[in-house]
Amino acid sequence: MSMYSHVMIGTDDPEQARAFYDATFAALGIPGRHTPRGAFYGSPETGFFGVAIPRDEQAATHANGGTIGLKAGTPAQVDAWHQAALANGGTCEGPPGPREYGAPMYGAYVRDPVGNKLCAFALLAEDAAAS
Amino acid sequence: MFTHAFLGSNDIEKSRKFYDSIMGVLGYHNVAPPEAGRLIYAGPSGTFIVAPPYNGEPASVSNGHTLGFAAPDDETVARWHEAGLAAGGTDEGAPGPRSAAPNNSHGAYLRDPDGNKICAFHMRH
Repeated sequence: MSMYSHVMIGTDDPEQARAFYDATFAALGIPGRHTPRGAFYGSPETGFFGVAIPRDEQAATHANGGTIGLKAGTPAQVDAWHQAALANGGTCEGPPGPREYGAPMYGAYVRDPVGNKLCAFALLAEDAAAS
Repeated sequence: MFTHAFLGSNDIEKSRKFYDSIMGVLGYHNVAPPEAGRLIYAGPSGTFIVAPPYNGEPASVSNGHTLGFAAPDDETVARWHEAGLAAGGTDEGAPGPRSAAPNNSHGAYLRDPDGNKICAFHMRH
């Protein structure tokens, strides 16, 4: 069982959010569907990521200290995800590259159009990381 | 789909008390040493980190963000909520079925001591 059942994030502009998340989740090979207030991505097996107008109808804001880490299959998917984010209203928070977080990984950071901090990481095989 | 999630903390000892309690109900334990100044709950399928923000600014919450933890059954959802209220959290929604969730799955909502919105769900797919 995954640690996470789902993650929700806010938006004030569902159309802008759908453009950003449709493109970035497509880069990771994760399907989605649109809802009246935003969109959902994922499946019951993997968990869901949702973006929507906040329930309290107040402006969506981003946290300081919050980051959501998404799983990528390969470094090429991380590159494609980062590129798709920048092409769809996101900003760079760290270009794609190898990172050592306890295990060899390849990751990249972006902020979505609201400013929410996201990253995508692919786990590298030990021998690939050493080369 | 998720590798990890971070939430910001302005008082790591308050966070420790809260998250040790509710993550313990879900079977996760902090693997960071006390002097690390951060909490790392690691499982076979995901990692959850609570820490002061890297940029040195105060931690703040996002409006619209909810972090959902998976629970194995409805009873665990209820115990998770109770543990959170006893350890410095505030109620954002009592345990029970949620019509917006798949198949009326049971969930419960809390705010952590910093105001971050979190929930636990036993998803019925």
